[in-house]
Amino acid sequence: MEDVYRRYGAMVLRRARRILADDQLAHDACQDVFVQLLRLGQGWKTPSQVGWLFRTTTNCCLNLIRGTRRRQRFLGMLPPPPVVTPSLPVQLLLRGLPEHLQEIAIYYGLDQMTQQEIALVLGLCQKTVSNRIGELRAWFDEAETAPREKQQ
Amino acid sequence: MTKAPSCPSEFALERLRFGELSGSAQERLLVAHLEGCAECRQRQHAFAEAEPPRLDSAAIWSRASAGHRITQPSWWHRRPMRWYAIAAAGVTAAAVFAWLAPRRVPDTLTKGSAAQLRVIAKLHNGPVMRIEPGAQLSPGDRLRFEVFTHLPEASIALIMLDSAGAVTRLAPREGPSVSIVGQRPVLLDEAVELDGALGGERIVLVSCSHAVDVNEVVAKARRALADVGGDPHRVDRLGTGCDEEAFSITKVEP
Repeated sequence: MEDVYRRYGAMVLRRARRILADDQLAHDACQDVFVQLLRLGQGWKTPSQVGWLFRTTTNCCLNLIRGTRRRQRFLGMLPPPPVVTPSLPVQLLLRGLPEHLQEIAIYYGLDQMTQQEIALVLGLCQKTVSNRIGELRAWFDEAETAPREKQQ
Repeated sequence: MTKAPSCPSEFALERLRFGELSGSAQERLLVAHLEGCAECRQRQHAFAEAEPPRLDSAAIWSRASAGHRITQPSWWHRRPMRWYAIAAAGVTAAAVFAWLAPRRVPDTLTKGSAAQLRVIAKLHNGPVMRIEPGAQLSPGDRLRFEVFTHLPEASIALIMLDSAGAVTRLAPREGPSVSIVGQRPVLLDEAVELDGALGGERIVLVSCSHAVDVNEVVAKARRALADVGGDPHRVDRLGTGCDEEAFSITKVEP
């Protein structure tokens, strides 16, 4: 575990910082990733360790962001929890985006990964990735044209 | 640091750095790109230079064993509570962890080693994995080496002793020993493909605070190997006067 942390810790933290733009929260997310890894025990068998860490870091960060949104929505009467504001590019990327497209939006829009790389990280075939990217593009196209139509 | 559209992604650069693309066509493409792209070299250098965050193993162990839901942060993310909890659980967990921590495999020389050697193998049938001392490998498997030293800096040499009585320089291939920065794992550039001779092999990492004459190390290794009848597994120390860490493997038919 310590070896893995020493080897990959900086990469995980850098990625979490990039998504969350908050040093403390990035450390929290980084810790979350290694907690998940520890729970896997000896079963950390993956075609790409870097890919597994990229995906788990992305999901831990997205969960932090989504968790804050949900609390804000449903628990507005309680004392406010710490607000997780993602980095500006991530805010712009995720604004209004359905949850099922958020992860792929990070890889495609923020990381500029190839379809092949995204397929490896997500454990999907390239065709499925291509379809989801098509869905993502269609969503952005629609989001872009809708306000214009309203103005007209 | 941003990348140009034609440059490889951070993911690709990290896979390259951690040896996941070893021997692949993508590795060759990336290496060729890096040779011609100063920005990507700078990006990769920055990745390698970054310090890992401080390891709070007690907190990680306590959270992993407590079954805490990571995906829905609750009281854990209220910072003062978290740090009190870590402080309380930390002492106990660290003591238990230290007691239960797996002991080193006896095949690895530990004698106060200032440097540690880890071996990454790309098997002839595809998988890339970190191997343990005593692993069975086959001709055609490729090895890369990662060195970690607790010292601020160390001068190292890596050699391999085989059952045929040969001693091979793995790193550096020529010249005096190479200097590596301490406190972080360093993946050596050198790789080796295992030849067809079956039997035991012993990889020895020699690390010193000063430069070492690698030819002299090789000569001492040859003598040590001859003294034990050519069985690399029976070689103890080479008598270099430096720290030595050994890693044994056995080559078998695929």
